[in-house]
Amino acid sequence: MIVRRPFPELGDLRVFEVYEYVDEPVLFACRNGRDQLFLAVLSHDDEASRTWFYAPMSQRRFEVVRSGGMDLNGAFRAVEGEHIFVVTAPKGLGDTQSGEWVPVAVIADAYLPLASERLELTTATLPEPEDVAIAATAKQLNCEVLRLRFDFEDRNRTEAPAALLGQLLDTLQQTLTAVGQAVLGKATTRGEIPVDLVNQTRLVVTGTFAGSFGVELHSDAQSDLFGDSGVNQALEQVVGLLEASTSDEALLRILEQLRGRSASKYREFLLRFSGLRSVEVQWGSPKWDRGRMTSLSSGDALRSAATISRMTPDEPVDFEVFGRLVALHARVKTYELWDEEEKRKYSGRVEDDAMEVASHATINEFYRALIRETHAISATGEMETKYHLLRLIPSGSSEVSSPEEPEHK
Amino acid sequence: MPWPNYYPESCPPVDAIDATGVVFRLVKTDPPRPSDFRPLVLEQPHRDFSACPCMACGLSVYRFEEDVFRLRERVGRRVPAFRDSLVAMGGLVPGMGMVKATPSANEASHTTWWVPVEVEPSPVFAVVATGGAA
Repeated sequence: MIVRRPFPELGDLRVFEVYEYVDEPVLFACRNGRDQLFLAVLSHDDEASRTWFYAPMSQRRFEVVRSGGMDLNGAFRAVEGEHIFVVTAPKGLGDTQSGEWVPVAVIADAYLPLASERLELTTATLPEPEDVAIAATAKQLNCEVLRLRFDFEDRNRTEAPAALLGQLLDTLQQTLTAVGQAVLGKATTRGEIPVDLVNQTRLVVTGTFAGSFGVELHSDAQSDLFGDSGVNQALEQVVGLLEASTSDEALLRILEQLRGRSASKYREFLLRFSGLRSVEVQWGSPKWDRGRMTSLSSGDALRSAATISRMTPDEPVDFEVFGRLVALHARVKTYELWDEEEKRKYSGRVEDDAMEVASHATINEFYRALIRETHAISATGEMETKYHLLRLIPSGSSEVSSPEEPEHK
Repeated sequence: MPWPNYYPESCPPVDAIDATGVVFRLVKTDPPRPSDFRPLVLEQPHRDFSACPCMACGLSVYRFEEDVFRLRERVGRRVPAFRDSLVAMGGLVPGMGMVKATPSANEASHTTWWVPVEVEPSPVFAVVATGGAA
C-alpha cells in the first residue's frame, strides 16, 4: 500500500507494517523513498478532522521499538530529533491537509500511546548467516565449524545475556576438552589437562548471526590431509552426547565409555540451559563422513543433567597433595593449602581424623595432605565440589597418607 | 443492491457474501450516530486510496464479541484516537449490504462490511459497553 502525503518533509510514504487496523491502519510503520522510517499513529479523531503523528526513527531505534525494548509512548516522547510531524486532515471536502514539525515536549500524553504499551515482535537485529553450506565452509577453512543457534528466553531481538552466553561457551569448551582427553589420552578426574590436548580442542568464536542468537565457532587447530583431527574426534562424541540427551539410557552408555571428567563437565553445560529454550547445533567438518545437525531443548537438557547427577556425585575421590599450609581455623575446622605441584589452592573442612595434627600445625610449613574430593548438586542446580582434609602429615615424616589409589570416574 | 457512486468497479469483491448476523463495531457516541459509520473514502476525500480503493469504502466490524472487546482494550492503549471508544452491537439482515471475512493478525473475526446507498447503519446498532480503555 502506498500512502501519498503532499508533504515534502515526509516524502512518498510506503506502509510496510500495520500494527493496528480499524477501518484503516491506525498504528503502522512506513518509510519514504529516502529510506527514512516513521512510526505513525492516529492521535485524534473528531467530527471535523483527524490528526496523525509521524515519529521519524533510525533503523536501530525502530528495531528496539518493534521488539519491545522501548514502549510506544517512548517511541514518540523520546523521538530522535525531539520533533514529530503532525498531519491534520479535515473530514469531508473543504480545507486540505496541514502538516508541520512540532516539538514533542509540547504534546500532552493524552495524545500519545500509553506508557508501558509495547509491540514486542520478534525482530532480527543481526544479519542472517551467508547461505554457504557449513561443510563447504569447513572444507575451505580446513577446520571444524560449529554454528550454534541459542534460543534465549524473553528475547525479541538478536541478543544474548552476556553472562549466560559466556557460561554456555565456557562449559561447552570444557566439555569438548574433557571429552578430548577421554578419546585422545587418559581420562582423569582432576588436575590440569595436558596443554597439547587443550590446544587440540580449542574453539574460537568467529562470528555472530541472527536466529535466535547465532554464534559461529571454528576449531583453532587445523585438520590433517585427510580432514582428521583431535577435535574432530572429540566433536563426534560431544555431538553424540547432545543427540543422546533425549534418552537416559543412550546418554549414560556414552558417558560410561568416556569416563574421566566428561560427565561432570557435560552436566555443567546442560545446567546452563535453565536460561534457554533450546539450542541448535550445526557441525561442519572437512572430513567427508563427519558433521551433522542436532538440537536440544531446555527440558531434555535439564533432565539429562539430573540423570548425570544421579550417576556421578556420590563417588568421592581421595588423593594426596604436597603443599604449604596457608590457613587453619581450628574453631570452625577449616583449612587452606597451597598445592606447589599444581599451583592451586585447596580449601574446605578439616575432618575429625585430621584435627589433632592440624590443630598443632604451623602456618607456611609444608605438609603432605590427604584430601577427599566430593561432588554434589546444590539447591540452585549448580555443581559444587568440596575438598575435605582427611589427614595432615609433616613433610619430613615417613608416615603414609594415601590409603589406596584414587578411583577414576 | 445499489452501491454508492464513489465505489470503484468490482466493489464489493466477488467473494463477498450477503451481510447477515450479529456484528460488533467500535464507535464514539452513545447511541451510535451516522458519523460512526462513514467509510474512509468519505471521511478523507483528499487522500489517495488507489492502492486499496475497495477496502477504503468498507467498514470494520467483528463477528466475535471477545475480539472487539480485546481490540478496544488494546487499541485504546496504543492509539489515542480510540482511547474513549465504545463497543456497539448490531444485527444485520439481508439487504444491508455485503461482507467479507478479512481476519487481522490479532482479531480473527475482523470483517469488512460494504453498505449500499439506501441503508443507514446507525439505527440497528446499540452500545453494549461504555468507558474508555485506559
